[in-house]
Amino acid sequence: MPDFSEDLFFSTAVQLNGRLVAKEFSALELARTFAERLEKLGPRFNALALSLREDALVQAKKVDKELKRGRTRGPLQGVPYAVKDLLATARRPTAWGAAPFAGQVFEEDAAVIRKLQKNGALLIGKLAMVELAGGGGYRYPSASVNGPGLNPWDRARWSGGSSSGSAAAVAAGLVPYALGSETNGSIVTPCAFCGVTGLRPTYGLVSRSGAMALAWTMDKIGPIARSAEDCGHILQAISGGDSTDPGSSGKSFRFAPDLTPPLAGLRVGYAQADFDVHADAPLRAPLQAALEAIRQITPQMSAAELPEFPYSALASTIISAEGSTVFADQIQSGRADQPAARRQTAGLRAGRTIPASAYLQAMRIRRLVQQSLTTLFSNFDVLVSPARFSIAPGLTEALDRPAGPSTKGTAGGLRALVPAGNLAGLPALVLPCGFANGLPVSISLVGRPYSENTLLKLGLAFQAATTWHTRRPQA
Amino acid sequence: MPDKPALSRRSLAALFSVAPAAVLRAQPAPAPQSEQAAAAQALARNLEAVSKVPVPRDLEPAFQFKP
Repeated sequence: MPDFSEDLFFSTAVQLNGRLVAKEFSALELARTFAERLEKLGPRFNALALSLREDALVQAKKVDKELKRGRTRGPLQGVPYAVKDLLATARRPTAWGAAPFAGQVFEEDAAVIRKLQKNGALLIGKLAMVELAGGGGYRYPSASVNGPGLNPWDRARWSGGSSSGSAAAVAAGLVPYALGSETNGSIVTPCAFCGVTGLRPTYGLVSRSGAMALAWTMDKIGPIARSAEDCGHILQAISGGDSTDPGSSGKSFRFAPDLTPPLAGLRVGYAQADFDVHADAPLRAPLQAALEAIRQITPQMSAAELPEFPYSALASTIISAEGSTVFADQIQSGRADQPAARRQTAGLRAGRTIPASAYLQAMRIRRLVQQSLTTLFSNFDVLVSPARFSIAPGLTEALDRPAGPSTKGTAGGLRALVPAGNLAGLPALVLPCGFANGLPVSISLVGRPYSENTLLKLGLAFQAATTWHTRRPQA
Repeated sequence: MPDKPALSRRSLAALFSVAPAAVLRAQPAPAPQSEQAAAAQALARNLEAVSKVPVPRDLEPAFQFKP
């Protein structure tokens, strides 16, 4: 067994694959080393839901044989990864982060896992999450069967939700990358709090077959990784049409940022108030520095403002109506009544009372949101904003504090970009950009539907000019 | 394969004596009233905000949602 240094655990998937192909070590050695680390340190962050070490080692031996024969499958081949425990793994438990589902077993792997396996990727474990992806609402980080997600930068802080374990595991160097999911902020938030790179794909670009449904019209699966480059390769591997997912767009993604127009001509929108008023004071300096770094890459920057809509109320209404329908049987039978957070039960039950007319009203307004954002994007190629406006909260801080008045469009700049982007199904790329009080700060790039290559091109340039994505928490 | 044990009166009585407790355990445990009230209030706020947005009469909902 080679003597792996700490640097190995903070390498990108592309770097690890390069060393595998160069025969510096075998896929078996790499998978065993990462699996042991995930098993040993995962519980330290409440990040590990299930180790799949033995399954991964079997796959790793196959990959080694392929590499020996000179058969290469791209930059994910032989590289370990893990998934949010919302994705089904054949004949292994899938708990969805919730005690009532702890013994649940599916017969097939989720579509994204099958796709990654075809690319030679090695699944070493499943990662903790907020129970039922927070569908009923939750007040504290403890809303998970695995306990509160602990932030690798400060274990007294939350790692974010609902892809808590996915972001924490990548940040702590327990896996080179992970899959998470987002309905309304569940990739963006944990990536921002843990200081890792994350990509929320356009709705419909990645199959959700085998994933827990929370809100059919808003759920998306995406990569959480160490670089924009890795995110591009992972998205290419997991994207593509799927007739078993009614939300599938039938489109594929090919990671080819060089085929997009030059960055110098990119029109970037931002709201100055986001960076020097709406963000909490300790975040403003790193956020403003990030904005300046973006300006160096894309000089055509101008003021942007979200059209005024009650974005959070719309997203909550749609998620609540769809989620409480998804879990109707479990609510009825009482199976959904033993969550870690009582608020989840109450929220799911309350969702059952939403009148059809209110849901339809929300879905009609959603059409207006889409139209308004299409108009906004006629003037911009990318919107840039703080990914979150605060650092990771403490473990006992309430998460459902009432939103301030500035969440409204005109008063709020781009502050409501998370619910707005999710309502319109837009892609987002989260990039670490500094620290405040020792905790990560990140920006978010949002673009038109299917503009992932543009976002990634800007992300690659930003990460070439900065080193924030390479920072690692103290051992 | 062993024979099925016959149900005796005593075993039947024992079954019935534990049944109410088992039934009670199977009942959904309601969330505390404060949580129910908080969830209901949040829902009401959202629905009120949504209801205030004017929508053109002929606008269809976003089914099937496509970005």
